[in-house]
Amino acid sequence: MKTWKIAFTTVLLLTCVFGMVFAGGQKDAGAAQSADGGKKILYIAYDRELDLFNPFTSQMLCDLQHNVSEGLIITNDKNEFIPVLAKEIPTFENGGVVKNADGTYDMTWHLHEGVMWHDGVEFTAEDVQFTLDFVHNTPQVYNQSEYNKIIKSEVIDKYTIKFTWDDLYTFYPGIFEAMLPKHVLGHLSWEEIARYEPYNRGPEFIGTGPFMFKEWKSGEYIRIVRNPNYWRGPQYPLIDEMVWQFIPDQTARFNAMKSGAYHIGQIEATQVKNFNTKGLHVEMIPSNVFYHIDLNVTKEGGRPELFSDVRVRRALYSAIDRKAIVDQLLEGTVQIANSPIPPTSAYHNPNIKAAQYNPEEAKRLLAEAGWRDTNGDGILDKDGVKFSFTFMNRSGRADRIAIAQVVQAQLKALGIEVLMKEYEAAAWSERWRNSQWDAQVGGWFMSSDASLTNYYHTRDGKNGSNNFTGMGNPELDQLMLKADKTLDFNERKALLDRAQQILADEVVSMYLYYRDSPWVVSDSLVNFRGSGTNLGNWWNAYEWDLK
Amino acid sequence: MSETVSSNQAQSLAAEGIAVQLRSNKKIMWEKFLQHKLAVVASIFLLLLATLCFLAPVIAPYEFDAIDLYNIRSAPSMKHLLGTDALGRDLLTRLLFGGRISITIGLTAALLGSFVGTVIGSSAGYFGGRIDNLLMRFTDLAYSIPTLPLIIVISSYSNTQAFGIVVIIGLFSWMQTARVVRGAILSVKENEYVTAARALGAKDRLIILRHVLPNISNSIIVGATLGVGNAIITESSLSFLGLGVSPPTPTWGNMLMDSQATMASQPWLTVFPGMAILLTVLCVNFIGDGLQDALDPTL
Amino acid sequence: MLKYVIRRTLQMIPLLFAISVVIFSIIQAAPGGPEGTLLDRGMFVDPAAIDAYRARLGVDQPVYIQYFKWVGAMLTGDMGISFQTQRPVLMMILERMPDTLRLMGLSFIVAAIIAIPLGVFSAVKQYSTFDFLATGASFIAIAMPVFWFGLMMQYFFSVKLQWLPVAGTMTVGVGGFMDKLKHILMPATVLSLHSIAGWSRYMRSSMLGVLNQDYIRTAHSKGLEKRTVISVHAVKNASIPVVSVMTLDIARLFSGAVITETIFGWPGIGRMFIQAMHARDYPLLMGIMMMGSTMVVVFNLIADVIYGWLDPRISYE
Repeated sequence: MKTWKIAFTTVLLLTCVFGMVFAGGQKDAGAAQSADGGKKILYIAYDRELDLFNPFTSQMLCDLQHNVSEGLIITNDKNEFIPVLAKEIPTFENGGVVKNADGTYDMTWHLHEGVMWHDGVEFTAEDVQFTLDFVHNTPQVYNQSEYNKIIKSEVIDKYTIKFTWDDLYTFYPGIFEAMLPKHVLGHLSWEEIARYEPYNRGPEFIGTGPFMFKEWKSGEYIRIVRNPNYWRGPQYPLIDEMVWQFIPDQTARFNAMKSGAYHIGQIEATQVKNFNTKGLHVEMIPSNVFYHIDLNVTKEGGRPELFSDVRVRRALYSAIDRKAIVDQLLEGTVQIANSPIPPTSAYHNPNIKAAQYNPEEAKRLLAEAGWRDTNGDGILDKDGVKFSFTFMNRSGRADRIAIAQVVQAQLKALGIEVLMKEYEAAAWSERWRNSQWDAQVGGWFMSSDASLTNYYHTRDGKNGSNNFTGMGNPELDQLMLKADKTLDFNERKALLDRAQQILADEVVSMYLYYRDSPWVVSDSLVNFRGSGTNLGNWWNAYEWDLK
Repeated sequence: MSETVSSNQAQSLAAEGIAVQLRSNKKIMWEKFLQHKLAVVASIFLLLLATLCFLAPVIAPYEFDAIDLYNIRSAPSMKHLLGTDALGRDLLTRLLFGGRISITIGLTAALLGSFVGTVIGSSAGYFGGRIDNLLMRFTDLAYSIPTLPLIIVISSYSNTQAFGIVVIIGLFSWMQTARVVRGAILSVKENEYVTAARALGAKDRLIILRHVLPNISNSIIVGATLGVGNAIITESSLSFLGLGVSPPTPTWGNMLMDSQATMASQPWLTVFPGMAILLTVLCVNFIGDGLQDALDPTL
Repeated sequence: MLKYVIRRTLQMIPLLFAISVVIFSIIQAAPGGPEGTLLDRGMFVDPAAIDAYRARLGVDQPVYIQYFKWVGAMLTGDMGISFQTQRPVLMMILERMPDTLRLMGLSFIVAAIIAIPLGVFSAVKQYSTFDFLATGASFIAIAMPVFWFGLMMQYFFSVKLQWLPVAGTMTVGVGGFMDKLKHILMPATVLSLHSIAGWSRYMRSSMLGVLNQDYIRTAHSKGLEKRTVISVHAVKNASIPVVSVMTLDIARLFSGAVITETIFGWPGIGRMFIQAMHARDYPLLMGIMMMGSTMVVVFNLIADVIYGWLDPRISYE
């Protein structure tokens, strides 16, 4: 009797718990209402908390900061650089860039006049100079080396500054995406600025942007409010306040968006199908992120005995069913990739001839390269070496781990053993940097200027400093370096088209797909035009409105 | 009586008596346990479940990493009795394979935890003084060691993450039992029968085993039963933080973790591993109840 | 008694030193360093920038030198500067304390208020319907991971019914008691559920043990009313195991609850700890863990004092 009683009560309770979740329909979620009457407050379900405000020393993407601290430029929804505090982006055509006799280049920026910092002080060329000096003297700025190519700078007048570059670079319009206020930070040493709490955390974090800092509740939210004296005109910005709530867990964020309490937030590809809340819709924003599998061919930490033969690499690529990954695993929310430059860029090459899914071809190539199962253990071998390698996964990156598992299963069918090893973030990045890994699934940002050099140039101490795969192709090196210094679009496109084809032929990186980021956006949000660059979706927040 | 026999004789007499008693007690205990029907049923069920799980490589209908992208998250059917997961893998197969690790983690942690905890806790509580102080400060130290960083360290030096996790969860689950046992013993050892046994000169080990531990077995058993559930759930929480047993190796914990995103639209992905954990916890609890009855000296 | 407390307090100093050595070694043994965060942008990083960053933080020096520097500063009350945020560690911890303690404290109190009577009644009315319900519920609670229960509550109360907010401690810019209560309700429930299940099981079993003791039977046969017997004699005596468990759990209150905080966007210490760990933010990690260890040591001393109150026969040597 006792048995039945316990079993019965347990089942009863369990039914109640499950009933709670699965029973009943869902209420219609009205999009978030502004808290106090009349004020337009935008609620954002944000996936992480910032470390600090300073856009140069922050180790995170700075989409929040750019609402407050504007720079000379920003990227728009078409992946183009557009001027913000500068009147225009200097080019040869408009006379902003001039070649000097000694091979250096002068670049002159003209700034908008009458732009005020949030505290009413005017923004001038001195601030630009100050920002450059800060970056030159602060090693933890992640792209300091780009700024280091400016060898001289000169403030011509209050609204004009001239940089002298040691050479021509295509990325030059892509830096200075934020500005530091000299009148606030000028009295501090460079090291003190990096540690200056009032700027890093709040009250003194000022810029020229449409929104001003209001409050940062550690671990919970950041509030920024309308700048009434915005330089684009008193009508801007149209929103009174933004609340950035930190909701790091993806399922919780999905619930948050479904609850209707937020206007905008990012969700996962696999959640798109299940999102059908009234008053909100999902926008697929093409991003500059390309997913790929890297093979390590370096002699030090890699597996040259497996991967150095290009036929083997091509066989692996042919064995991966990318269409199944894209259509099924990611539920058709992304596009198959053949190269690292995504279609968001004008330099994307749609005509690449890359290995396609063909297991028979993969078998043939492997046999041709001498890989056979001689000892009958089901795993290919050659000269006593088993074809077995390990995927280095970064823990917590569920999307990449899922792909690794799919590839593992697909390669197993060919007699290739793939092992998996998970490393936690910091351990992962140490192994990655030291090339102590066999293969990994990566998702990287392609910069808006589509420069490939840092990722794929032979690592020679000067170029290719992020090339940890051991990729090295002399023709490719030439093409990429030349492309980096070619400003003419057609000429550069031809170079990068060829470079992308070589990358596809080399198959050291096996391109999988270009990510489209699913963002849930309220129907009431007007003028939202998402951008897939690393500067983010808020580039035109001054003209956003809530209807 | 103590006036006529020497202390040595008394000691040996007492010890002998206890040994006899212990032997006959075992039989009584076993009978008492068998009387507890629910405990017997639970033991058989758990044994069966564990056997099925450990025979998974033989009996499972599919391979645990056999991916079928064109058949993902399918509902239970004749082909896949419990449906398939987010990568199209057979859920029943993964449940069986997952049980191997989850049951191992649960039982290792509970057994290791209660054994080490009881030894340390009872020595500290019974002997008191210096020994108590030393053992308890060691317990404080062990309790202060952060397990998450330790898991990162161990898993980076071992090839099988599962092993590291079993070891860590097992090695760091004794502190609570140690404190509970010690606290209870501090009180129990002041009872007259313990003082009497001591005065009779019985060996410490026997006093602890015969007079002290049976009186606090309740707490030890509760600790152990809670420990099984806790350990399985801890592994699942580690998966949540990205530090659990790494894929494609299934555990009930990481299966539950993987299913969280779709628990409303594809509930079977969540229900089956959840039920497996619940059943295990239930069984262990019933067995615990049975043991409690069997060990209770007052019944 | 006072002598005992003083002696134990003095013993804490070498103990905490030993703990700090162990913890420091473990976090340093974990591969990777704080420079890993530089790569989190998923973009190009200059290796020279990585070296400069390491040198600036001082993590390029041998481990023992780093340790002595840390201890030296700690002795003067300086807990160091966080690598990630460039802010004083003490300030970061104190900032998170009120919300951490509010959530953890509330769930602790709720759990204690429910668990102890639940355990006592389950024991007194053993094998009654009430006992079965309580037992069944606690099994389910034990078998349910926190993240799973939390997300399910969210789905039900925030998405379906829209009664309670998903995340945060209050509606930004509003606040107020009811608003804060609505925000704390779900995380506090999630956190207390597990404690209720565990503690009530301990209480029930040790209560059963005590109720079967001779002296209780004697007291009962002497004609003392059942209620008095339970409240005065039994509960006090049966509480020792629960007190052991609860004091350890109080010590944990100060360390927060990672998963609950993550799911409900709650600004607690637990989440800060995980972030610090992924970023190898050594000063912040050490700060949080040493605080946690101190609490463990202190509350175990308190537990020992409480034992003496619960059972006056226990002596302090």
